[in-house]
Amino acid sequence: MRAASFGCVLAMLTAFAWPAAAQEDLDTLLDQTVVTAASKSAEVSATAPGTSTVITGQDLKRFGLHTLAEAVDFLSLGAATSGRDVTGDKGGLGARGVQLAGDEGNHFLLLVNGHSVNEPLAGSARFDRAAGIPLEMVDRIEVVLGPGSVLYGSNAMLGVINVVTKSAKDFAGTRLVLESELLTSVRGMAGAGYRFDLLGKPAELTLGLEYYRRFGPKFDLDDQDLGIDPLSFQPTRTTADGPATGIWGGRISDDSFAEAPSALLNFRQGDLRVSAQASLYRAGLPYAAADFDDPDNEQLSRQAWLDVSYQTLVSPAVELTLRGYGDTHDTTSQLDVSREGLCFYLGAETCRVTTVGASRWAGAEFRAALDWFEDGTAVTLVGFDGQYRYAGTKRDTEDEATGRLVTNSTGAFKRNDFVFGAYAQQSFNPTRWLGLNAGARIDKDPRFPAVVSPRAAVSFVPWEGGTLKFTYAEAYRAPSYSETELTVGERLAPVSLDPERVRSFEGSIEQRAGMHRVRSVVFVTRWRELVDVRQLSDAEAQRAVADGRLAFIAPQTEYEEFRNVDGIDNYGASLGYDGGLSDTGLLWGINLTSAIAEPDSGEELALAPHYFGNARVAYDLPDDLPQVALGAFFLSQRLADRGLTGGWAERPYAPRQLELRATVSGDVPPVSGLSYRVGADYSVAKETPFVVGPIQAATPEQRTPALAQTDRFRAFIGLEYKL
Amino acid sequence: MCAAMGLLLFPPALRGRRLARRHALGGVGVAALCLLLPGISAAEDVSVPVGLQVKLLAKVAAYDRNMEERAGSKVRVLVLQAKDDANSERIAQRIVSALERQPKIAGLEHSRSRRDYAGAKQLIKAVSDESFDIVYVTPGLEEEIAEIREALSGLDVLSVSAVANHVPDGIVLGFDLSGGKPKLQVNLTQAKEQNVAFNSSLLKLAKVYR
Repeated sequence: MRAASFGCVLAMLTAFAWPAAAQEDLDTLLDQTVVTAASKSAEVSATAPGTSTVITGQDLKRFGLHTLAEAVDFLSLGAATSGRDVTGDKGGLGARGVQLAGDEGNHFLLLVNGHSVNEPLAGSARFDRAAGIPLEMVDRIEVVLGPGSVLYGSNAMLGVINVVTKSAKDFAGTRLVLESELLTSVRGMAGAGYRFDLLGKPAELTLGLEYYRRFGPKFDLDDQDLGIDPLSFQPTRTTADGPATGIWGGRISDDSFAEAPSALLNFRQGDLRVSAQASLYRAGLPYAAADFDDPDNEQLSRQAWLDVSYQTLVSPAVELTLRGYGDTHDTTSQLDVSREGLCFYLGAETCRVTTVGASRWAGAEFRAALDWFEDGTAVTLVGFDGQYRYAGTKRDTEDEATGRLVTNSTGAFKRNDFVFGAYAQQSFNPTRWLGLNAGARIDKDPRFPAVVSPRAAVSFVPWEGGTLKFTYAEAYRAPSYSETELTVGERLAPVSLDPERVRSFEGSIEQRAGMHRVRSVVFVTRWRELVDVRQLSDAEAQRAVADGRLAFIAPQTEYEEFRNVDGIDNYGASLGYDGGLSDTGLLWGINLTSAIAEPDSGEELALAPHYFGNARVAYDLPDDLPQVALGAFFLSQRLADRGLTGGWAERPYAPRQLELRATVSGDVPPVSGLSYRVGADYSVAKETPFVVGPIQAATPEQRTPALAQTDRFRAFIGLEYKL
Repeated sequence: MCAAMGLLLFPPALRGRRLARRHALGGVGVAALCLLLPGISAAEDVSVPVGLQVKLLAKVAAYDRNMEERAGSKVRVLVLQAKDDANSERIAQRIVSALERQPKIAGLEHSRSRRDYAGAKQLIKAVSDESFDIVYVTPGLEEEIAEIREALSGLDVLSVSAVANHVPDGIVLGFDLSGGKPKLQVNLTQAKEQNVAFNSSLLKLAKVYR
């Protein structure tokens, strides 16, 4: 109710912010943003279905942003992470007050030049350094909020993020970038963009190669008392080499590292487009429930993809697009564990637990656009997407000292299948002031019945510069293979699992005048069939034995499985204001969202902020003087991810967070083509809402959890040289 | 390339069984379709949606100090399309449709005409005899841009292109998309040749070619 009232106030403020007869001057038009992700065609964002924020490559540089997650936090309306932790990981991405525990980008669909990169094994997409996208190549990031399965299928529950890279024209020549977060990381990037003739026809190529390495920071974690080991009756061992103290915690110095080489290539000749990416991300796992600060605790992920599309006109009314793609993604996590309770194999003092996962998928999409009147006012889009997928995983445990396997592989499975989707969308703009868009997609996955995802949107331009928009949309997320197939430890693969579903209604009002834009959005969303882990009752465990899913019931063991559980009612409002003075080079903006997320259980939703947003101001100093920019990102208090299930003495919350970032950028006058960027980042709060370490639930010795740390101050400096 | 892609998407290795035969047929179908396509058309980059281009043109034309004198009471727009080029025809039609929805250009009433480009002489004749004030060029005329530039030099007319790449080659005004926002492009040298005098405040907003 509070959020709804907030929304009504915002809508009225927007409506009266400018006179209804506000003039749509040239500044207003030049400040319009164009998105392609909302409808798979270029359109003005004000009238596109859903709520869009377009973040430009210039913004990324101006505000000292280093990752997609930071860009979303500091510049988007309605979406946010849980805040940065000391490792640079921002956790999953949420929107409109819904942030789900265990989410690793599963509820946003990430596209790179229209290519989906969410992998099927875990369903995740990375928005941090692991994304492997050199930001210098980014022309814009389109953040389209609201269910988006109508054209894209699974995962687009919170929205779609489309990264559009620069053409060779905007990325011309060769450039070198060297940047460092002081005492913490270095990043080098080499990029090139060229236009040339190939076989007598004009072609263009852009290429970026990047290498990032983080070698810190060192930081302290509070001690966690693991007590006496139940097998050895000695203090629990928490390191491979040191004495058994029963204490996990202290200074993290060896396991705080990351490296991420990546390459991104785009080629275009006429109607043929080719995009390819390859990246690797290796990082320490200092928070893992394993030996403390062991540099061998690490994760490794590798991905590569190729996307080829060909677009052509059969007639002025019919446009065809054929797209083929192939992806490979694999992950390895390696943890050293010396706790006798977990490493109880004869002769092994420390166990190395290695989990590998791999997924490969390839498919083709055929799309046809029929322009009924050949003037763009009524366009029917139909498409068909077929995809072959493979995924597999297994876990091995070996003696860390000898490399000898101490047990058979566990959690092993291999699956492959075909998934299909077909969609249709009709857009109709009968007058200058009215736009209609409606469509639906049907997806068939062999693991569950076909899913239909409809969307309908209407936009009005009642006066110049003003837009009213209403959108109804549904979306789904197919359970990942890990959720439907994996049996490991006490976790059993479920008998069946339905896709998560969401439906949303939103209304928005936007007013533009010159470089000023005010918009407010009110949304009501219903989530259902959410997938989460639940413990089996005794009767269910006995049934699992009878069904053959479980060999026997071990004493004092609680089994669990993924199930479709609660739904969530989510409603609230967002307000955004962007402004500027074109003659002075002064720009500013603020985005606020107030949202309520109420699970059916009546409990509080972990990780979900009630208020969040960002604010920014940038000023181009005259002549050869630099550009200065200040950005702020803020989040309200959030319940920790294990806040409800840990049995803690008090519910643990991450405090309100305010992250400030100041950046100065400009040219280095004596050297043509050389520019610089320096900045600093300060976080007011020192904790994020993620429980870390081996104690994930209260013990007699430890009644409060340890939360992931924030590095409160970070400074960076970078140089870019265009040859 | 496209035919090869069809065969890649439906690889021959899948052939031999009943289901695989469908894949093979699919591959042949895609390949055959692709072989047909290059002869039909090749879509050109019109990065800024046409509706937004026309709105921009309506405002930008007012920054031409000579527009009012040139046009009198009504602005006459000639939309040039490449003959037998589906993409050019499509964009031309979209421009005409967007113009019909645009109440005024530079604050004046306007009329529009859509024609195939038939050579420099015909263009000069049309602009001179029918007093066109704006010539709107569509994709598909890349090879003719130099000729169009020569033809319009010395005439009193604003040339505009739906394709940003045409501006450095001799079209006075164009629209590009950068960072998701439209950017104006102006060929100042050619503007002078065509008696177009943009206000300096407009040039501050545009990428200027000299």
